[in-house]
Amino acid sequence: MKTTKHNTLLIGLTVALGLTLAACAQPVAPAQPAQPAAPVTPTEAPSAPAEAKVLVVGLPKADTRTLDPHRQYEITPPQIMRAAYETLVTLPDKGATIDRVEPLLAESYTISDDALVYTFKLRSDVKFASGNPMTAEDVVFSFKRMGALQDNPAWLYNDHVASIEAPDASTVKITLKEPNAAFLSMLVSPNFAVVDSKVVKEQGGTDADDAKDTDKATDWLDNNSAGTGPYTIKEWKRGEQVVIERNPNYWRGPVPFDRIIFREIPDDAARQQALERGDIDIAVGLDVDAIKRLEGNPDLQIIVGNTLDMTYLALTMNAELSQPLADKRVRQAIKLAVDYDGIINGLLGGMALHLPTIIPLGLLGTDPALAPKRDVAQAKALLKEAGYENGFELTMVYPGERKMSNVILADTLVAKLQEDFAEVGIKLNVEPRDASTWRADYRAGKLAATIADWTPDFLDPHGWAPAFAVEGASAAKRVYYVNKEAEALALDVAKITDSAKRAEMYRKLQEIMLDDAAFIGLIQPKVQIVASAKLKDVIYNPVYFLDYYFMSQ
Amino acid sequence: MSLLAYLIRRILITVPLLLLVTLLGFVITYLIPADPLAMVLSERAMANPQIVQAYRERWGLDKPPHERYLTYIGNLIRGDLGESIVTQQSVSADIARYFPATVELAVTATLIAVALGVPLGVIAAVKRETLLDHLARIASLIGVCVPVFWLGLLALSLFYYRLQWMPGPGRVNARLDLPPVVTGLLTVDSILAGRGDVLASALHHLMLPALVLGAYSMSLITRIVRSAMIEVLQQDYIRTARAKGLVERVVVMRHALRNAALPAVTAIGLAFGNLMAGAVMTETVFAWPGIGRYAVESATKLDFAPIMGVTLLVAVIYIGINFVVDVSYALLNPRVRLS
Repeated sequence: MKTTKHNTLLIGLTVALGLTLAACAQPVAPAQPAQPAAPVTPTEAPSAPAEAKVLVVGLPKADTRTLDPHRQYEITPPQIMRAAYETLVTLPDKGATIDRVEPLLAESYTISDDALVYTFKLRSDVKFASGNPMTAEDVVFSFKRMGALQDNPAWLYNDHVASIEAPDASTVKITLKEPNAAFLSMLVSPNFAVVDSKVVKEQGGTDADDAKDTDKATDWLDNNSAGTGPYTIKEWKRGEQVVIERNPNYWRGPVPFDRIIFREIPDDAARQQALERGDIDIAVGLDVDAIKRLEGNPDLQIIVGNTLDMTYLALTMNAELSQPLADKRVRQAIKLAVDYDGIINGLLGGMALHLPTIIPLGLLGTDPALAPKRDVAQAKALLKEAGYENGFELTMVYPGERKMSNVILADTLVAKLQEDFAEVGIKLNVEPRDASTWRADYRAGKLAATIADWTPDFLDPHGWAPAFAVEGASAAKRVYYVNKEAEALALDVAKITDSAKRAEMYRKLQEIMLDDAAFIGLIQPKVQIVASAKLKDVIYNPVYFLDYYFMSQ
Repeated sequence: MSLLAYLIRRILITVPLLLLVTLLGFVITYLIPADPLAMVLSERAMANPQIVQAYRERWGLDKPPHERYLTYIGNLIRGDLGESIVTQQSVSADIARYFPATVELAVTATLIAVALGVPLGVIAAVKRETLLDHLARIASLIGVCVPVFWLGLLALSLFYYRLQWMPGPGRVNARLDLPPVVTGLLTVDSILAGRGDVLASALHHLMLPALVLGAYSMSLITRIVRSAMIEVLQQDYIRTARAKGLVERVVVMRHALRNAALPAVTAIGLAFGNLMAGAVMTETVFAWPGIGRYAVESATKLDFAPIMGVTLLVAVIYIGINFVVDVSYALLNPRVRLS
């Protein structure tokens, strides 16, 4: 590294000062035999500690609220959760395949024909980082704790599970409240992490019904971990970094990295520079232009993956909010007026898929061919038929200066829609709002037209279908969506275990919802991660983001 | 009035002022037509009445507003700043975690600003209308006009990315093992732990953001010192001093600067206050885990307790700075009375 004379002098002085003090302080500090990295001797101070194999991941502003697997529900933590904890089932092909799951901590599983009882046979060779063997009791404790904490992910358990029991040390039997073929894919979620019940109980954790008031383990779990994963959490400095270290007792054998540091660098330009300088090995969340500039760099690789996020256009069916929009033909005209290719290729440089309506592409029963195409002439014809030959005015309230699906500024997207709508004679008045007030109004069903995001809860269309298609459900109520045929399909399909039959029903559901045009899919963004070319098996998946078990150098 | 009596009076005035700040903060937060739970709970969780109820109870959101306010004030009197809904940690713990990083940055920035700004102002005034003066004025104009985040990006891409003289974003080299947290000030903690490597890395990391953050203050100080010096240098007693045959250096440093120091102290006080605002941008660009970023994040999440906690902290800092400025005035110029 080059330094100026001035810097060298300053560093020299500070090092000298540090050394003097180090010498004074030396006898006071007790030796710490438990730590593998021996205390650095003063003369070696300026050099890096030992020859540890360290991976540094640069994250944008992290949204982490907690690292307790039974509480976390944000975007950033799953990759850390995944490194420290494991689940009964996982995604095949190192996470690249998302439409089916395979056993991980479970050796095998059976699902009853009525999709009501799930029975898991556990592996016998799994040990926690503490050395304790994993048993069915740990699984029961983990799942019950997640439900009882009544935190963000609790619905995954509470809404679905009637009972969970451990008939013997290696069997877990889960009975659902009602048949649900999607439950297996829910178990891939890091929230269903199996924790070391002995260690968590020692730290004040409990799976009792009153856990929301009595469980005290979260503070400990924020800075430590009690899982079966390849790494253990060493420390979390909020707003700065999370450090995880190799679990030497890992049941599938130790992983190559001694340590992984997840460092927050909120500014895109600073993160990109840190990557090019080699201070970080992976940069997450760089914008399209930055990635373009890095494309030719032989030291870097760009990993592209499809998310299950989406941004959609929501049009109310309530005549009190908008007389024209209550007419299905008007909504269909809007669907045909949107320049989807312009949004995806022009604004996003091709870094998104065009999903038909609300179920992201890649999931069961989806088909890119269903996606609507722009047709201005037909849109005008539909408007004429509905009696709006001379167009009409429509107000769109939206979250200003917010990045939709983390990839496009709401202002930019809405300006584009305004242009597209104008071509068919609809004057779009735009009203940007603060995200929190916009959200409150949209959830209360007060908006005629808006754009919104949806992020996946689990990997099955069931995560989307009922919420959007069932009258009064969380998303449906915002646009007063009512269609009894769609509702019946969305509810019935969950009771069927036959995949081919389910796929067919989800396709039918999408066709109905496309015709109703209350929810119009705009973009399903791709994610781009830039990593050092030396890294192997950097594979994106929409559940864990990156799975560090597979990654090596 | 004695300094002690003055201090007590100032503190007594501060109490109703801070109460007013909390009341305003509460009313504003309450009037925003949005539910803070919607910022932390997912769509699914919001659809589940048990989870929503558990959250409302835990954060007292099920109580009427006046009761919530009184509870807040009651806790505040006991020194409890409440708990953040977002981080689920006590606000005092959060502030203790983030504030030292900002203090370290702001103090370094002020030191740099004073160390460069005062001499620059003096030189500009003494060498009035020369090239040196023009350069100093241009530099200070740029410092005042250029947005701090832009300056930050520029500094990073030049000194970190291109020239490679400076380390990148963050407080310290991420690969170093850090000393135990005692004060939260990394420089002090590394000294306490006898870790020269950490101290060197921390100081090295401090330089660029502190320079960027201090640029505005430095420019302000330069300009004010320059104009004050020009005014003083035209006074009769300076002419008298020169007439007595005193060396020019003594005239400038002892006679003139001493009298020009008064407005400079105000400028430094003001500048330190401004640092808190500039810190938000600097902390973002340099990935500095400080109070500025914490404040912005709390505000965007409508997280009441931290918003109030940071507001109170900033109010106390401003009041404190004003106090120090007033006292310095009195000490520097006996004709100024504390009242």
